[in-house]
Amino acid sequence: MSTLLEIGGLTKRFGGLTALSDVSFNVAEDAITGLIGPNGAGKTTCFNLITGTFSATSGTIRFRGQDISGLPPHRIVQHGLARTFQAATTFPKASVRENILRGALLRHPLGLGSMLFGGGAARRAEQGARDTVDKVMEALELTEHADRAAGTLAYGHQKRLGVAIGLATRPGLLLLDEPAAGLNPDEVDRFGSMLKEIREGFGVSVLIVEHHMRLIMRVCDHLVVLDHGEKIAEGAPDRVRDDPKVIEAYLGADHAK
Amino acid sequence: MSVAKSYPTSRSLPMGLFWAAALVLVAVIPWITGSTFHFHIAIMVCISAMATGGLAVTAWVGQLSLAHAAFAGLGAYTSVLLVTRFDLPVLLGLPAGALVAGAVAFVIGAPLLRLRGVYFVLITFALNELFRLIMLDVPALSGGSSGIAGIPKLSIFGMTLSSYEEVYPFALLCLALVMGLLVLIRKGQLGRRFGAVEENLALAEASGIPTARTQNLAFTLGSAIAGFSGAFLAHYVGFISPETFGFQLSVSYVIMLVTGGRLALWGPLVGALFLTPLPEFLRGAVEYQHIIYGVILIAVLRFLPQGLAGLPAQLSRKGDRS
Ligand SMILES: Nc1ncnc2c1ncn2[C@@H]1O[C@H](COP(=O)(O)OP(=O)(O)OP(=O)(O)O)[C@@H](O)[C@H]1O
Ligand SMILES: [Mg+2]
Repeated sequence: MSTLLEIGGLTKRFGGLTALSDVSFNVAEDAITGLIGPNGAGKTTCFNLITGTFSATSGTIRFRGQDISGLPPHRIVQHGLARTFQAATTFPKASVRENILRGALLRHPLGLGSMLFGGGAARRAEQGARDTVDKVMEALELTEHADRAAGTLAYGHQKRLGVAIGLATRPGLLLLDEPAAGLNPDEVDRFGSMLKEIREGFGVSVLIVEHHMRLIMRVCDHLVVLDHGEKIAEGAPDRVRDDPKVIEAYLGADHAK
Repeated sequence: MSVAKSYPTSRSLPMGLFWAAALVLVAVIPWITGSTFHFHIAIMVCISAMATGGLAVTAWVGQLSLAHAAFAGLGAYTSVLLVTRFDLPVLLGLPAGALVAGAVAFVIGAPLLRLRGVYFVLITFALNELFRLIMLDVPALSGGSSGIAGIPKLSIFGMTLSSYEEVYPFALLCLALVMGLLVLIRKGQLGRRFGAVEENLALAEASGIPTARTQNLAFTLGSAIAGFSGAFLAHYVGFISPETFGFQLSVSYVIMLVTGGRLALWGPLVGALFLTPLPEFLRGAVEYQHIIYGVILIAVLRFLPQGLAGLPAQLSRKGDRS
């Protein structure tokens, strides 16, 4: 399997706090990679650095061999690297279909003239984007809610809509930040199946942050474990699960609570 | 699967026709009464609606500018100076005013729009004051505190529009052009981008929308429209001074926009239509204008969060529930 994303020596300091310290790992193509660790380990910070929301204190980020560090978020999505947010994040007033369309249009860019005056190019772009939207809604089981305002959806559906928007940008790698948080056990299981279907159907690789260990163990091909901003383990899920360092990090965190 | 609905969802046609007919009826009032005073108010409504329309474009990407009057002033001074010093026809002065106001907005927009929410409001408020002070400081250009009087009247192709009756159709035409531009922005792909930026900036950026550039485009377009309206106002009234474009005017535009409906396509028009005539009809009470505006603003914020333009939808929703 070839490497899609290479993280090298990634470090982020917020004032005196080192949220991420010299973290390196690779994300393989066509795989579902899990990024796990206790609360405050630096997982979301890692996502924010990869997707350009924050700039790294030091380190390199290469996607498909290209250096993408320092690019603004909207340019990084164009490179094929999309992300979802930890909180349920949607365009609340727009319909589900419109939400996904706003992501899908990335792959159908238009000049200012076409954006204002419409015409053939705008119509083709819209049609192409709508085809993507239908496919994405189908895959994430949102079709029946297509015309509802996103803000009125149940929490679980909003989380799924977040994934749908990211998927609609047709990424090579999709970064999911706790997509199953707040879902009931049935929904979590269903989401795991969807994730596998998405990988096949859309040919997308996934880097997923999750606290649901059952889901992680079920879907992930490879795990990276962070604790206090440092990488403490990496490898196949069943091996990482038995790693004493990992057990200690989680137990330690549990005792602290 | 149902046929894809276009965004934003268009109202049913009969309702649209009803509102169009109502608008036409209001627009012809001056011709029915024949009153010069009514013509004047109608022209002022057109100018306010254009300016407020410009403010709406910026509001559609989630930013509220309190420097809108300064951009109107920029357009006004540009046109007046070009017309009086370089003999430019007034008909070209108006777009020149829009161009200069838009260009200035484009240049200062990039750093300015990094500030969001109340910080953007505050910095634009300060900018409006800065504009007034600078204009007071360059009397050679602006006429200083005594302003510029005797500004050439509006004229098209050498024909001067000397009476209110002649100015009004031209004002309606200009307003139609501005509203046409607003419709194009809102109904096309640009409106979709604006909506995304307004609703959730971080998600818009993460979805591949260049949010900084999109906001600056809106600010540039909106401020250019302000410049156009300011130039129109200057040639119509015939007198401008730095005080004409003080922050009170910016506040008036904001109140008109919020009253009409900050995010509604027809909000600017509705807001200007209701609020412009008010002080004119309360001739003896002009000094109370700001109090009246303030009370109306509070009432709207309390009872009509979507503004007057959102009233029909709000009423029908109430109807559904009962
Ligand atoms: N913008 C910021 N400014 C300052 N400190 C921050 C910022 N973002 C994160 N941090 C800090 O960095 C550390 C790592 O936070 P991060 O959100 O990456 O953790 P996480 O692994 O995503 O945790 P969780 O599982 O709770 O989501 C925390 O101590 C957090 O307080
Ligand atoms: Mg997190």
